Amino acid sequence: MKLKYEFVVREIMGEYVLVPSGEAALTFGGMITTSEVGAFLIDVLKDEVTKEEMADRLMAEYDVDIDTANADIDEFLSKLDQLGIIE
Amino acid sequence: MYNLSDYLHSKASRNKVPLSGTFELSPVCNFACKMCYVRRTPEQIKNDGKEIITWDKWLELAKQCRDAGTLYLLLTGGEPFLYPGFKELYTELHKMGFILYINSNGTLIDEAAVEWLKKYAPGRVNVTLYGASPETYERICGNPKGFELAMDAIKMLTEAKIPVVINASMIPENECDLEKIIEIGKSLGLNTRMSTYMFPPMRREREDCDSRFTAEQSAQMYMRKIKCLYSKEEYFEFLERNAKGNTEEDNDETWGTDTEFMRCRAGRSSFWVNWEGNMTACGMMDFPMKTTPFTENFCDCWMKLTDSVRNAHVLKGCAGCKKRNNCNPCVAMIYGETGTVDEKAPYMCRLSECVSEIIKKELEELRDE
Repeated sequence: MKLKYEFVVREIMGEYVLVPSGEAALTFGGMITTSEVGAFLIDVLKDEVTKEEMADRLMAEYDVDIDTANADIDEFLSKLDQLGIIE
Repeated sequence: MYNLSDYLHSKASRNKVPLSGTFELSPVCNFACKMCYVRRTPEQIKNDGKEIITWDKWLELAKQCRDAGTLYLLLTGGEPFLYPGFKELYTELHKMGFILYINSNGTLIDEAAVEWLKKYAPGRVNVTLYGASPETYERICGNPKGFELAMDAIKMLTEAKIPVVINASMIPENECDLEKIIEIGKSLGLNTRMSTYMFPPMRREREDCDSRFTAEQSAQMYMRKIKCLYSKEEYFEFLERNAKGNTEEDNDETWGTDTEFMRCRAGRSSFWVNWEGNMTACGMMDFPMKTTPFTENFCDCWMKLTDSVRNAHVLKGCAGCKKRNNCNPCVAMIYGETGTVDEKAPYMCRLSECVSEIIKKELEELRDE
């Protein structure tokens, strides 16, 4: 899976703001805010990845176990799916 | 309810972060509007010994702004599409993750420009309509073809799903078009932001641009705008709400203090950099100070500016005024009218009185119906 649109991640006042970039700014109106971990996963999703690869990258960056990583990824992907921004 | 932008601005104001900014790229324009506060020809700029700041320098400034937390950036002029290097600058700013807005008269936005904008879609394009006919454009801008070109641009942008807002500034030369301009917006499903108050000339010589209404006329124009924008029910609610406001203020003897500060976003979470490279809190005034971010570090300039705004007492002349809530005085307007932030501005007082009188009269007539 990967992101359907391009985003520029901006960290502003401790908020991680996803700004649609390129033609995405036209297709996907508005902005999204997320956490630091969310911003990390968005970066990972810029290229085609599997859920297992996402979990590996998350565990390499943050000191979490596989169950926690999978649970966080499932929750995050569910939100992105609701927003219609992953494929 | 707060939206994300309101929330971010509120947080930025508290944390002294310059969340939104304006880059006034150039005073050069293909129109010569009577009321314009900024327009200069390339010859005038040269004769004044000044020069346009090149796009690569704006880009360097933008990098500092981004690092300081700026998210929203308005590109204005003059006419931005005339600015040398506009496309290059805009594209780079877009890639940097700014949410970009453009102020334009629309006449240079052709099919190719729309195709390009689709690839790097802005947050919004604000297209100014100076009238609703070629004749009005001729009177105000000196270019009768401008109307058709601007309308074409608005339609092309809208069809491309690029967000558009119609801006309009009303002066005696286009007052006959007020309702038509609003109808154009409604027919295209677009918001129209119309100003019926015109600042006195501040950044140009008075004889160049003294076309504005008297306070009485301005009040009438304001009420015509409200009446046209609102449905009959909304208009009645507006009248009742504001008439009630008048009565409440008349009974409030404690209204106003002599220790007021600027309450808007200017200098608290937003800034303006003009084409000469001066940064101010608001584009319409250099109070309380101006800084020079092209020669000093942007963050240092911003901190000096925002601290200055947060310590500047304003509106002493309005302290205790019973009509103040209805007037809702803007410091830039007071400054423009009086040259200070401490005096009462007779134009604003009269404008507020006239609006109140019209509201009262209109309400009585509607109730009689």
